[in-house]
Amino acid sequence: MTAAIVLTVLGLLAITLAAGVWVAVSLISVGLISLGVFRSMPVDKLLAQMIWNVTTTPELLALPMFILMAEILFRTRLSETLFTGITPWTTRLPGRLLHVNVLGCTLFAAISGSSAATTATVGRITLTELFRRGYDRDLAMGSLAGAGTLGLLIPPSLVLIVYGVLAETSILKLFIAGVVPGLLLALGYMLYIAVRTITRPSMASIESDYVPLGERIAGLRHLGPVVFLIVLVLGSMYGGFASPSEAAAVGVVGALIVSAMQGTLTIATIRQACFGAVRTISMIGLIVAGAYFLSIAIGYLGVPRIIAGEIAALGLSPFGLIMLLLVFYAILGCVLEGMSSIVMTLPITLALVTQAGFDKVWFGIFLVIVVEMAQITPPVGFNLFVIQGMTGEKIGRIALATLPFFFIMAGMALLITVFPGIVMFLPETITLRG
Amino acid sequence: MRAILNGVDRLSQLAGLLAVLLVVAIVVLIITEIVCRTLLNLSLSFAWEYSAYFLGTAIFLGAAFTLRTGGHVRVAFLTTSRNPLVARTVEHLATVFGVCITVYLAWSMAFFAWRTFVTGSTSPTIDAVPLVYPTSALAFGAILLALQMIVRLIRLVIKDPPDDQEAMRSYSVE
Repeated sequence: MTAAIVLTVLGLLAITLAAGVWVAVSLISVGLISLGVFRSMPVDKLLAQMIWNVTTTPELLALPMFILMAEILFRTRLSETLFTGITPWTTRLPGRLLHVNVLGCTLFAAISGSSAATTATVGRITLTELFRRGYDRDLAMGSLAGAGTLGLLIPPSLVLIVYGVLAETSILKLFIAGVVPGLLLALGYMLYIAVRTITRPSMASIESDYVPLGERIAGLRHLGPVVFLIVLVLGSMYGGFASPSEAAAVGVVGALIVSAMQGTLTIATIRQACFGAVRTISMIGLIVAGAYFLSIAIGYLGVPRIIAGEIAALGLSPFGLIMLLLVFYAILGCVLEGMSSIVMTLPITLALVTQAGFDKVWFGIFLVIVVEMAQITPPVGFNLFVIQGMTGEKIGRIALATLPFFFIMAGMALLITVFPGIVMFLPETITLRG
Repeated sequence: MRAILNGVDRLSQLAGLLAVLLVVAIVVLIITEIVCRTLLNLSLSFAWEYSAYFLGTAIFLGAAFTLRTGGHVRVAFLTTSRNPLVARTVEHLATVFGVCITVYLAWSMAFFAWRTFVTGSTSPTIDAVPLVYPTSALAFGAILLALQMIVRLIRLVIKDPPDDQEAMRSYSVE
């Protein structure tokens, strides 16, 4: 009987998803059907109540506003100013302008919660410039795809907001915990670029565009709008003045100010940004609703307990369990988009890892890194799609170019498993409101 | 026939516009709350509660519009198969399944709203908001989503394009 329940749940999920049923609809259907078959209870009441509870929870409020903020910023000239501000500082580094991808994404990630938006915004300028100056195409595309995923890890982060709501963990703590791993990952990318271009100098352009220090410092004013927004959003949260939702609201106002100052604030851009935001809000909102209902449903059916029992019977060490999850998510990431794979597996995997003694905040960061890897694995990898849209290259070539960055992320996931302190140090030392 | 289908599209778009206004209202409410609290030392407790209802409502009011413009995530492996027969069959099956689930969802949300009306439930806060307002707003969005899903099925059957390609491009970040 118990095996039948587990097989029904997993089988239904696999079939409906493979058949192209919308993820939110699929999650709801699996909950409905398995409850209907194995339990006699008023399913319609439960469905409505759970969806009502999770879509009107105040903790979720940061989500719509960070989405709106990113949509507004995407339609500004922020990517141009980022490029002009950072470029002069990279001319002495081995790999030169290739580092603009990483640094640009790191900075932009600190004001954007999505990796597709980060990749698209930063890449719009950098790819054209790098191609034009004769940099290696693969390294340019790969570093952009890899660095773009920082949008998920460096706060604000839409995935961490959703994780925080579903795992009932402080979003602010998650936001603090993501910083150090995010910066380490950026450093890892830059080291890789440096090593590659030192061993094969032809990968980077040889043109010497040295800029005197004075001009470089003067050029920093181009980074003004980005720094202004980072201080506004992260500063208000880390300074203890604002909860994530409040910081998001302030961020929207800041984005409007930047857009107005850059002369991109028109009726048309506002309209597009707003409707674009509503599409993303609705899409993620319904997935969260479906995932929450499914987690309650399979909780009633005892599925997490059964699977946890099976895994426990394997007698894995905590490290072995994490390695198993790493492989599992990497495979899942090939067919599913990141947010979806987190929300639909969370009720089971969260129970597993907390039982093994891992912290919820730590697991959130681990999941985001693993899901970042999913973001760049074909056939379904959103960052790859974004870059394909910009360059017209084949997905296979882009994926191959991104592969080294995939391994850097996997290395990072291992690193935080061996040294959990990398993640937990900051949130444990700082305690803030929210 | 097509006039009715396009009518549903327009209704979805209108609901989408309402969702936009609600998201803007959330930003305005939260900013007002911050200003009142820091400058006037006045706490607007209702701001958070209303914002949360607005979010739920925006998610559901925007759902039909998002479906029409291809914004809901799905695995496009089989529906974009090179074999047109496979792609069409799977697309039909997925949409029929989608109709069943969204109709059930709409019914369950509508029934939920009806119950909050009959029992006169209010929120467990000082403001004691009658819950029938937000619950029926969510239900309306869910009904519209089901309608849009039915429209999608009809379009598939009469071989019209099921998703609004042009809107997909103009609203997407990518």
